Amino acid sequence: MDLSGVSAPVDDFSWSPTVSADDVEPASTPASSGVDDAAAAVQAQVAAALNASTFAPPAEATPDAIAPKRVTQPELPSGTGLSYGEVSGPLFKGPPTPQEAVQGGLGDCFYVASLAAVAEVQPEAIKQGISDNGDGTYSVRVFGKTSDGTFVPQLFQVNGEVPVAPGVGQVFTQSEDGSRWASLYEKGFAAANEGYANIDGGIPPTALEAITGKPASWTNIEKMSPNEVWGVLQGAGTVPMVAGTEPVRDDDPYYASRLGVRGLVPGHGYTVLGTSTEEGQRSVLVRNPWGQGEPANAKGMALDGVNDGVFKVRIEDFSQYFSFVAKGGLADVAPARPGVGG
Amino acid sequence: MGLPNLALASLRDLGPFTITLQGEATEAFLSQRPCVYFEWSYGVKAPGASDWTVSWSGYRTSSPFTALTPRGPLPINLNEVRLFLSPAVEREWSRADKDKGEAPKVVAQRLAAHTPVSAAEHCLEAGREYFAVVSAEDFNLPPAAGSRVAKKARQWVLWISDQPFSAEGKPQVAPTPTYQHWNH
Repeated sequence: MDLSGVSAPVDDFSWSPTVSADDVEPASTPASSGVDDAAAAVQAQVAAALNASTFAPPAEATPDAIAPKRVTQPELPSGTGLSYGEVSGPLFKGPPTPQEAVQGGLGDCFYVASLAAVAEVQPEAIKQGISDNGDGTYSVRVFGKTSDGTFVPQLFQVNGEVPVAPGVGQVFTQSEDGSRWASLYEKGFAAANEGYANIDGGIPPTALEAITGKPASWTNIEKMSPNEVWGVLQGAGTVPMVAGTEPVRDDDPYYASRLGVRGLVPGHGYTVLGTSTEEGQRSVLVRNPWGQGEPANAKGMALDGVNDGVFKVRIEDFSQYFSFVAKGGLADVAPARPGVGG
Repeated sequence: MGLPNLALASLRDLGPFTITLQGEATEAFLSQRPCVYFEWSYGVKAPGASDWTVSWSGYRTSSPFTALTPRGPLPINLNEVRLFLSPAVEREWSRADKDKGEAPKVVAQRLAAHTPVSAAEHCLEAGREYFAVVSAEDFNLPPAAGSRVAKKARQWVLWISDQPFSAEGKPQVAPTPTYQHWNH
């Protein structure tokens, strides 16, 4: 990824994405990002043309893929008042991008950050992992494992409905541009895990493996020097990577506060988009899967000018405040077909 | 999203308690023990290190099980627990083992690049007594539209350990690899 447009310093933060520790209450849900109906209709036509020939499981890509299961409607979290509702929009609007995967009111940052990580380095893998069946249903590929660690692709067939809340609209993963691939991927993952409640928290390697079908490694960087962490990050931007912070650290009672003043969220996963060195300063470009939430000035303005969740972290801060790096593999993808773009 | 789990939350006042587990037992991959839950992982240690520097998940079961608590049976999904268990079995393979067929295939692939590679399996057994305590896990969710303030959420989870918790309620055993860096 080209980092030239990102130059925010990361020393002087004053905005914290967290609220008072005393202010703990059940989370509500964010508003939906709606799309204009007319535009959506056009987008749907374009998407239908594109999607008709983009689905993966070409035999060479997923030789062991099993037949799609019957249409699955993953169980919604109980006691939340959520229901399923239709949301219009195309499956894709051009090649999938990290910015199109925005976490909603479910604690599945580990999955959304992983989706964004794969979209960043291998958008064709994202396109090939989901298909529009043309009958209002979609097939989502989710890799599971056998007990010896062998990957097994499974297809989960879901309809186009997503979790909605009264008066709010779509509540879980969504795209600000109206594309639907991220929310339907999430739905397929929820189907594979017997319901949305079962993906309310998790670990990035599991998600990376479910998306790519390749082993994802963990590296615990808590005791590493910045130079060592820099070495771990080699390959960022070419293989999917997710880094995370801890909820708390027993050896540092002020850990969460320290994160907060740097625009970081405790117990949270971030997509690693790349690394760069400018004037001798090594930095890591990360993305908050919220699609917002980053270092800001006293007035709450993002230091890099755009509160899109994408920001640089100096390697010294990264090694101090992040605790792990999950590194995935590249998915097997089928060669692009002549004349098929998107 | 701070999903309510009334059954777990209702056990908060018990403090530490003991449970036994019920569920369909599966033969664990490395130890061959019958387990209602097992996970195995493998990894590589830096010279002199006690913990893995880099690790991979081999497999984990996904079936829910039931905890028999002092107040009755409690169905448990795997994202509602945090496990602090001693390994049921540990193995290690060196590069010399690569072609012997003894190491799992996914481990053997790592032996080409790393040596040695070790594996650990953690298991929950039906009928065995475990130590448990209900714990609050607080986390953050995206701000509502028009706000810059993150939402706070809380999930009640059941800590399960094969060792008693300390007087302060802290686990005396490290979390299993699956539960080491739980994120929301």
